[in-house]
Amino acid sequence: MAALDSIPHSAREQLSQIEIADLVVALPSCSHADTLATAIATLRPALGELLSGGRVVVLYPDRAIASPSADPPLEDPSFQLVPYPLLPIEPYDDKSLDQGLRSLLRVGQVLSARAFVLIGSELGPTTLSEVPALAEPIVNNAYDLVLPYYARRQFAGLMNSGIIYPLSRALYGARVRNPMAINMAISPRLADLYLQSAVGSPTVTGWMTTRAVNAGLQMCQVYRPEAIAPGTGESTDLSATLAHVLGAYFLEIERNANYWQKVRGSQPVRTFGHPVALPSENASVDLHTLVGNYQRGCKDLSDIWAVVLSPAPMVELRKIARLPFESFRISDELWAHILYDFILGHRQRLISRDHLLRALTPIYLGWVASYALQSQNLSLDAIESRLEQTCLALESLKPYLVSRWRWPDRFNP
Amino acid sequence: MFDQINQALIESTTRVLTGLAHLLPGVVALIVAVLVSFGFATLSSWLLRRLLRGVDFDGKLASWGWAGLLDISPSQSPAMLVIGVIYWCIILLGALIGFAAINANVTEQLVTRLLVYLPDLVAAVLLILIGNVIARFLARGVLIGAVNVSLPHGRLLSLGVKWLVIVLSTAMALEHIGIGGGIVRLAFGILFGGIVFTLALAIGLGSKDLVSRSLENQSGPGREESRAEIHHL
Repeated sequence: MAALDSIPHSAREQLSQIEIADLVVALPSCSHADTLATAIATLRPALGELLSGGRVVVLYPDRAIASPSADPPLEDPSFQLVPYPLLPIEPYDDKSLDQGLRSLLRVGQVLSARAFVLIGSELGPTTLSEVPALAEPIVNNAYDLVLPYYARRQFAGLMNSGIIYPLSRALYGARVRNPMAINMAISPRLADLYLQSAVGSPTVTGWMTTRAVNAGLQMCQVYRPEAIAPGTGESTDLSATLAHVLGAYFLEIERNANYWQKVRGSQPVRTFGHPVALPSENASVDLHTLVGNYQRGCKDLSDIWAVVLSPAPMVELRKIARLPFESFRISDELWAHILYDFILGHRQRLISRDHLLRALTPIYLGWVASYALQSQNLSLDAIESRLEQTCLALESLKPYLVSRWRWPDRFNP
Repeated sequence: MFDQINQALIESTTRVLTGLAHLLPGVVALIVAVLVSFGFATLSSWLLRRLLRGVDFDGKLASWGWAGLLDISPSQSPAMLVIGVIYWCIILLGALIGFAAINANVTEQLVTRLLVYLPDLVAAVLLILIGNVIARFLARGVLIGAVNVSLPHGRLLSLGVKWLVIVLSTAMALEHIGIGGGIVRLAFGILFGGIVFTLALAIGLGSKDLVSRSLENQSGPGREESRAEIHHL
């Protein structure tokens, strides 16, 4: 059993009384007694059935639900509630995610748990149903990391669909749909690896996926009926979000360079459950605005892009800016080339990293416009095939990234 | 009378020729010193160029986060900047040695004054260099920010920011080395005040429609509507 020293004093006594548990669940976003009561009512029967009477410990934020009278009375030793100094996890915020993960994993180690589940997103009926779904593959099939596979929607999670998922797949070779999910189930083996890493590591988001892949651990996904993680707040400043998310992800790429340079192609990851077909949507997206943003970017930022991009994609981008709206397209090959050039530029610090990532915003909006124009009136299956082409383009162009990563000064037309 | 004039002419010619004879070796020494220093500077810069290219000086500086130096370096190469500085330092040294051969006292005074002045001069050059780097950094940030929030005339705004910082740093540098004195301060005050006043007038009067359109574009309902259906995260 791990030492109790790493646990805050307020929770030590209760945890030493509990001694052992099969599953530890952390709910850092639980902010009201009512939400906690709903969580208990949902999780107790579901996890009882999954663990066949095994012991479950649920951690909830002690500051959010301060009054002891608000805690629902629980006499059941197989389902224990522990107030713990947890902070809500902000989407793509490394610090709060690191704090939540470390709290969960330390408690899990102290209690010698078989599985750890973190629900970082906002709590709701669908999120709560995610807990047993995520825990099951670890409890029954000895997986090390279980991530949610959110249902595809035409205009939801575009940064993941267009950048994170294709890059993660091309670089690490595992087709994990939501590699940066903040809801996950973790095995003790992966927990040990995480706790061995330095506290306050700058890149926590997506760390679990890359670490599990690098360490050769077993990974799987679970189909979810939601299009995106509930409560994943949409910031009004897109360029700041892009810089934040990609900054963390590009640093992770730099850190794992020795691993991903050896990976070729990609392999599917086992996915439990059944894919959920969401009703098709009639989105009223103003594509003219997106194309306008791209054209303005091309007019004003081309000097900055030229520092980062190779000459060939630069010429292509200028050509695209002159195309009429109906034929506005950014090809998959060009998009792959752009992403790889920005990764290389970020690594070489060609300009300030924040400026570099923010300068990608107009090109990203151009890609969104191009994707939207191409996927108009398509079924979700056809959109899926369309995005598969993007992923394949990144995989086939990967030797270019590897080559320039190793020999950055080699001439690249 | 004629003898006296003749004598005076002979004496003055002798004095001039003697003076010239005294000066000539010094002038020749100055020319030789400048030529030698020129040759030495050329050789040094050639060797330095090979050395810096060999160690990939530009690439290493960029990877250490000094990419901003690219903008102020000749041919976008900080190595060329270093080579240029060293080249001109050697030429200057050769010239000082040459002047010492003509008149040691003058050179001594010159060197003494230069040495006293040098810290301020270095500080002023550093002020201009740092100001230049900051100006370019801010200008790039403003341009990217303006484009990303669809603000019209982003380039103009970025150019304005760049020149404001450059003018500010140059005025600070001139003030530091005591050139211009009050005139620089006054000129800067007038220039800076003029720019701010012009901007205030432009916003208040001429460009109020433009500014209001920009603000509407940035935070108005139209913009929210256009992106309402897209979820990036």
